[in-house]
Amino acid sequence: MANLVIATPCDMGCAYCFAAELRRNGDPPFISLADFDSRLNFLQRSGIPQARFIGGEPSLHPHFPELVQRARQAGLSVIVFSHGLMPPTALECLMALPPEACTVLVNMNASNLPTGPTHQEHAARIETLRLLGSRALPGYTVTSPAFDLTFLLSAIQQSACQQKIRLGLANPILKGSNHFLHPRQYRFVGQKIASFAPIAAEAGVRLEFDCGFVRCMFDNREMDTLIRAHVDIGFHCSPIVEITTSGNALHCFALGSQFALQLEPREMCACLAADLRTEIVQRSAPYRLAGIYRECSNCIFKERDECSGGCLSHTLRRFQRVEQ
Amino acid sequence: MRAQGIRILPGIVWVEDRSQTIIVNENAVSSRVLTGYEGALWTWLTQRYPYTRLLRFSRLALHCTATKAQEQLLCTLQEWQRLGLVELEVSNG
Repeated sequence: MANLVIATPCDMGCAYCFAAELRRNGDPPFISLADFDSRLNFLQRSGIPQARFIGGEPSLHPHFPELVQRARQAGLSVIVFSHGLMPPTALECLMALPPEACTVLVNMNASNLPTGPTHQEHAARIETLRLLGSRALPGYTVTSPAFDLTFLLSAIQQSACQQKIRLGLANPILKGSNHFLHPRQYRFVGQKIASFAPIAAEAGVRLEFDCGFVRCMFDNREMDTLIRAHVDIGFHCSPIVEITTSGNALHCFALGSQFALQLEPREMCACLAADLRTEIVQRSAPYRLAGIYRECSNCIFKERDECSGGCLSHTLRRFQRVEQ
Repeated sequence: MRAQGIRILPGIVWVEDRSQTIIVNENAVSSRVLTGYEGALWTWLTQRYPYTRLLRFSRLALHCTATKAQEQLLCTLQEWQRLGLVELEVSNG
């Protein structure tokens, strides 16, 4: 897989946003059509069947419908990571795609306010879910232990979107200052998710874990609960490879320029996603002996590769260096 | 022979876990795990303790004579120097 950053601006102001470094480091705000064609060629050459659009808010790209059309013409399905309050032209072009060729991951708690989405924003997102139908997959980023997911069940029931919730954890930007969920809060968050999973399952809704979850968020009884609720469990942190508008290949937004590969345009015309990923994995490998907790490096789950030890950005923040 | 000055080199980062210290050499993209005496010695180095204190702590940690402790201390430091973790300024005396 590889994610394509097509637009760095966003009209939300989420305190936990981990894409903020993109806007600080001077990357072009929007990918050019010529560069986009080069990215499509990169995906095809790499044998990747999906064009995954990220940002910023990808739908703010002034030529978003054109990009979607070009991706489809290249034979790729389209995945869009969005805050769900997209311009009408962007929404319409996605609604026109066959559901099997389009997934829009809608972040249901994106907001300009520290208190979270307003009623109007929430209502508008539900309308987006409804219009997109089975193309829409609601997502939620856990930013603090005080969260309640039950509103998502009614949103899903009202909208006939996918019967899933993609759960993410607010991870820290390595060299930034975003609001993030501290690992000492993970156990409590795990308990709440384990309590919610059977309720979601009863409503026919399945939970999926995004990156950064750790096994010790859940005790064995809670793990059984998650399994019975058919939760898509994953305790991983590995690079998907994000290609920025300037053509750099990142491990992920949270790690920003750490381990990043700066690609010249001619390199982008020749490289493969798997090779970029391998290079980034090798660069980050020495740090993966550690994890987000002091106990991780001796943990049986990490040893068995059942848990990666949490978000690498969290882990790297634990490392010390001598002040020169 | 004794190490007059000991300096952790730029590009060396570390994390102290429950039972081990993980050192990463960012320049060489390599890592090393330290336990026991080595882990303790690394912690003392990060505290910038002088050589005389490193020697005294080594003798106590290793339960040995000052001569044996000095041998072990220098051997470990020279190994770390070879690995590019520290820089030593060694003198006779």
